[in-house]
Amino acid sequence: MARYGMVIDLKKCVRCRTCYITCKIFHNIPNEFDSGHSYSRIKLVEPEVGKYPSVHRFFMPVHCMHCDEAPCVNVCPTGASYIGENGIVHFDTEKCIGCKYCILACPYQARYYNHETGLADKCDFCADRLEAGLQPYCVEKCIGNAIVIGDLDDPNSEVSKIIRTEGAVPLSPHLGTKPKVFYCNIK
Amino acid sequence: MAHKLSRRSFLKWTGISVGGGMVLGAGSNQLRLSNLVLAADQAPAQEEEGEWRHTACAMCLMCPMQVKVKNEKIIDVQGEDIYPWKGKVCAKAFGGIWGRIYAPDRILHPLKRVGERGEGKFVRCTWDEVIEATANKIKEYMDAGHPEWYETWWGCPVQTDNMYFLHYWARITGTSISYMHGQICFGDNTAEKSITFGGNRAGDLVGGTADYLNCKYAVIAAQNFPGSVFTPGTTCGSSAFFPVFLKARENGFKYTLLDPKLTDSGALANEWLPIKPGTDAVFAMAVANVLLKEKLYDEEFLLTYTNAAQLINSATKEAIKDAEGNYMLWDGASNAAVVLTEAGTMQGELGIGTTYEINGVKCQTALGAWAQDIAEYTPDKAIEICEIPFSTDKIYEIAHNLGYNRPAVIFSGGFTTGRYANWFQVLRCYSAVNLLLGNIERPGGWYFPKKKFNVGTGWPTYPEVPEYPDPELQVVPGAWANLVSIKSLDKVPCYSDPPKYHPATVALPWEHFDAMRAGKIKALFSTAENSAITQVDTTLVYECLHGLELIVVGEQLPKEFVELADYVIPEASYVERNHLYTFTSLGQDGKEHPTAMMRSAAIQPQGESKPVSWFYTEVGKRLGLGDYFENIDQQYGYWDPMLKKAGLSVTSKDLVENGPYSESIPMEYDVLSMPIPTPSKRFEFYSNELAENCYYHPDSPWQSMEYVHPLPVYIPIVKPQNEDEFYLISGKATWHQKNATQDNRYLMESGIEGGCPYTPVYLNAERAAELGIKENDVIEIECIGPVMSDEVCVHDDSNIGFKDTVRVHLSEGLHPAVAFTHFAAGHKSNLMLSKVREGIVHSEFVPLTVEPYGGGCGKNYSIVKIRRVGV
Amino acid sequence: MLHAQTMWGWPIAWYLFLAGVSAGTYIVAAFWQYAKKQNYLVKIGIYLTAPCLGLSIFLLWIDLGQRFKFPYAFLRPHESWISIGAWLLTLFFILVAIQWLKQFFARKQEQTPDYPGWVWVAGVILAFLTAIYTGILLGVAQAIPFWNTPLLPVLFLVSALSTGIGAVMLMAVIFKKKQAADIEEGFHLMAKADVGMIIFEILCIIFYLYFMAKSGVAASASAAMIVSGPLAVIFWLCFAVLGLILPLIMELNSLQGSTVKINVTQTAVMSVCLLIGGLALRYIILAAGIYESVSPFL
Repeated sequence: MARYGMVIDLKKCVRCRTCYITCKIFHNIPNEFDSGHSYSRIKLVEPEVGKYPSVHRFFMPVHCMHCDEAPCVNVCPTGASYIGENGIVHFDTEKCIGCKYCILACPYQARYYNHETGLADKCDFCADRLEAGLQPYCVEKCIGNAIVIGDLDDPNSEVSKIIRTEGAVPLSPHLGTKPKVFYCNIK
Repeated sequence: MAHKLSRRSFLKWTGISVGGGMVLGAGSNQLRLSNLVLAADQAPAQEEEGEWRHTACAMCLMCPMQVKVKNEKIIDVQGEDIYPWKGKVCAKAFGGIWGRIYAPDRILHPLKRVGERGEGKFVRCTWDEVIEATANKIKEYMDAGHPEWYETWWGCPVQTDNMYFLHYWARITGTSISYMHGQICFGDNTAEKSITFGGNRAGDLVGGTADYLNCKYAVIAAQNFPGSVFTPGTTCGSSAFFPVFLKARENGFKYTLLDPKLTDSGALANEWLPIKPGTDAVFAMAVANVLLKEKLYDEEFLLTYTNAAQLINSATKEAIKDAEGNYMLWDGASNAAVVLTEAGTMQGELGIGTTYEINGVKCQTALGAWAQDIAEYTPDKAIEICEIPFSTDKIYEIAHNLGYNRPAVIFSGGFTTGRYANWFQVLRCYSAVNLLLGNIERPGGWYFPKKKFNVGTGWPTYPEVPEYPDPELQVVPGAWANLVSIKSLDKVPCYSDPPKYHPATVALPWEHFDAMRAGKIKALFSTAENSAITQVDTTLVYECLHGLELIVVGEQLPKEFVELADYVIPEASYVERNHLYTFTSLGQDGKEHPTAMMRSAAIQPQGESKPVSWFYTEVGKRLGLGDYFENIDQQYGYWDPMLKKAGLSVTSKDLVENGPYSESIPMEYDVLSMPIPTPSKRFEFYSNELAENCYYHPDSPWQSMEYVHPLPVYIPIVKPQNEDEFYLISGKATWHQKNATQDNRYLMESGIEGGCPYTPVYLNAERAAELGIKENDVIEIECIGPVMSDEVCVHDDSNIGFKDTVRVHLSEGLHPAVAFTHFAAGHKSNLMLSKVREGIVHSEFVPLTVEPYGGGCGKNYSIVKIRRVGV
Repeated sequence: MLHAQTMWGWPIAWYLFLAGVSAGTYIVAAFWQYAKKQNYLVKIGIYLTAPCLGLSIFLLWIDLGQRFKFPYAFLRPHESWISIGAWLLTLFFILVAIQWLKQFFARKQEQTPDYPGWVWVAGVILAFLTAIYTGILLGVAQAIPFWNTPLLPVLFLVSALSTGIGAVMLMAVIFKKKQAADIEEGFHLMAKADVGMIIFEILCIIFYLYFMAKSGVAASASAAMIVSGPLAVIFWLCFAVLGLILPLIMELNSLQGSTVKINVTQTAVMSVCLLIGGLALRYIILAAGIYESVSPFL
């Protein structure tokens, strides 16, 4: 069984925000102007660093990191959040009681709480699509082909190669959550 | 009683709950769509159902795209598999389908105003009522002998339904037509490129067509490059440029962003050089000074292809001519002035620092005179005037990057136009530096596609239609290959003697406002644009619009123009009708791709929507002009003759069914692939056109004015004086572009903004701190200039004193002299999403300025006073 | 880029507060039971604990997105602190509900119902665990550094005891009737204890905020939000002044001399202040829960 991981090569990212919008549309995530809330499975993190005029703005799409040591899984009282054999942090809406603890526990703020359904929600690497042999929407639609998903256990998979050759790193590794989403050429 | 319609009740009127149990309206469409998407999500196998159809986006330009249609609903979108898209389209393409086509607030039925104009109160009416009201009004004006009192404003050429037909319709009915928004968009840039490089190169240069793949270094001023540009190859969308940009960067392309703001997309630049508004000319001159001093210019290019060596009178700067009126240059061998020949032969000398004497008249070469004129704008001076927060070394570094990497360099003033009243001359300065660098038609420089499909306008001719009324009427080129009457407001001043404005200006908006005030435009139809707020000086614009007898607006989503309309027609959207486009793009494969494609009706028009061409055909029939319109086939018939004219054997039906027709041809660098239609038949360092039509013409209203000086000059603009005064400038965001992306519930979401919030006004963090303004504070902005007494260019300042409040976002990525707002991020219509009213309408703070000859409207030329009013 | 959590608001603040109060009231009751004194206060304590705890559980339940799936909450007590809490609160509630009912049906009798000692011991253990648990619940939310400290359980425990005393005193003066004179001794001791609690709580909060202000970006932003930001009014007015300083002064005042003369109004005001302070504390700590920014630069 593949252990899915993702690498986002930021030198290929043009900040077009297509990952964000396709994820929202195709996963039918309620629109802000219908729900009154800003829900999304992908967060666009774009901090401004430095002081005028030596200032830079970084840009990172932040998905669920599918941590091997996932705080959201640990804090979940019901087992709605669990790590599948494929390494994906799955989320079983049937079991979710809407306590929101997972949302508070996730250091990557990768989850949101849907006030209409009373359920948490998160990225699952488009697990259904992967199973059907398709790419996740954010991967398929990415203009720069900056996002690659694949088997981390296979040293010859594209994702493993990019992580190796481009020196990709996870976000906030000091938290010890062992994320499976990696970033390279952060700029 | 006269309560304002809330958004909800407006929606009600537009169809969501019309007619008891009837299932009408986008609300229900949206629901069914969601189910489909869900179903597809849960059972991927089912995705194989549905059919990919070929059409085009229209959210910025017209990226060819495929939409997957299932049960007559779009369920997926992808780019066409041609260069440079290769299957990809950007966020706007998705926002367009789900935030516009299937928006729950889409206008699906004709509406009739019931309250006061601008109040936003409408009731549903029938198409027949609108057609009758429009036809009656035109009939009334025809009977009075003034059909031109009725005017059509069309907007974005890719969002407008069959723009060629609209121009034909105007020709037949004798009504007026104007591309009003175009002048605000790029009009004076086209004029400047025409006078410097010739009209046949203007379009590509304005579009920014360059060989980025081989480019080593560029200085790019503004326009949020690369996210919001016109792309290499004219008229593609931003999705087309991203792959080219990425490939270029892989090849080693580096660039400096020259902009008061570190824009969202501009943050991809290798460095950011903040500059004070209106001082670009000084920066360009400082760069030119370094290039000249260190001989980093291309002498051969200058002497072969430009008129840099043309002799001009040292004192008056007037061109030296021989008895036959030929332009002259100095021939070193014979030590005499000889006739300047057309581009192609290296001729004369640059004569920097040299003065010649001909018949007792002291003269210099154009470049020599300019070098002398600009000598005062040293790098030190530029740092000071442009308020660039770096040392002088930075200017040297940039000049060296340009000079040593030439010709694989680009020095671009950006696409949008008329930012300040001196912008025409600013653009001339940019062009001058490019000429020094000799980067035209060289690897890595500006490039002009060698193969283009020239489709014409497809206007039907006798015997298909009766003979045109007023057969003597002269039609002249308008924007985007359209033809307009020489008698139109936009063209009369361009064809006077001497011309007051350059014929390549696309519209002269102030002429329309003056005409409205004088009662010479009485009725208006607007489609695919929102001039109500995109034109500057909203106070004036609203005054003019409120005085009209009839306003009809075609749209899909609410906006200011909808709110001001007497009738609103539900216009078929860009995926619900057919239109042919041709363009030549430069791909990431390093080839030219001349392409023909059809925007096709991938889905049926929603609700009662109809294309504008249908509406105008019906109006034409009521006017008794049916013979001219009713047999025109808008689906295929209109486009096939155009394809034929371009020498293509494909039919429009082929394009609809099989997708775009695209060729791949290698790039070839050839400066003289086209003639240079300037007065000297060379790229004009010294503009003989400006000299002869304006600066030295005794009858020109611009005689002796610096704005039309034949050599590029720096004209200081009005500056903010006190510590609470700022320039208020606007710019675009990557995920927005124009009218079509406004009020879009997906593109307007906060989540898509990342670290660049869309609706607040940005202030430099330190500058704000000095004024005691903190993040998220509410500030009041008051328009204080420029006023009519400041500059001859200020045409109207009705909005001086206008105030509005808005939240502040503090940024380190902003020049301290400016306050920034995203263009059209803020709106004033109550019919729109509430979030758009959080922002300010930038145009409300911009007085109407008009640049002599170029006709730019200074859309960033605004000085405001800012004070904190709350938290 | 910093932003505070909005997931847990007032219902959870009330939940944490009431869970604390119920723990406090039970411990007060158990103390007097153990001391074999102040029978009336034992009764008040028991009467208060069950409704407070019940309400607390009700608010937690109300805050669930899927209220009717609540039994799932008990599934993972070995991992999830929500599950641990669900068990803890349920067991505690069963115990105090039984005590409440027994006491209610024996209300005509002078004496409180008699239990084996282990009942009280178990109750006290559960009460302490409940009070501490409310702090740990927040503490394990790794994403929010402001919560991620062992000081929080300590602070919540002290506050639980203090508000427990406040609640008992309030009820006692409201329903005092003829026993008034009897409870003066009890009040004296409780006020004394509470003075200690409050002083300890002041030290705790100072140390907590100081420590957080000196920590990372997010934690210091949380501290700033409380001390000088949007939560400053609630913090200074409701918590610091009403919840700590005022009761402290009033209690110190009432402790002058060897006995107290209970002033009904003053005691009621002081007790209400204590309770307001306890609720305010829970709320500001929740509302100041700023997420740490993720960063690739480490």
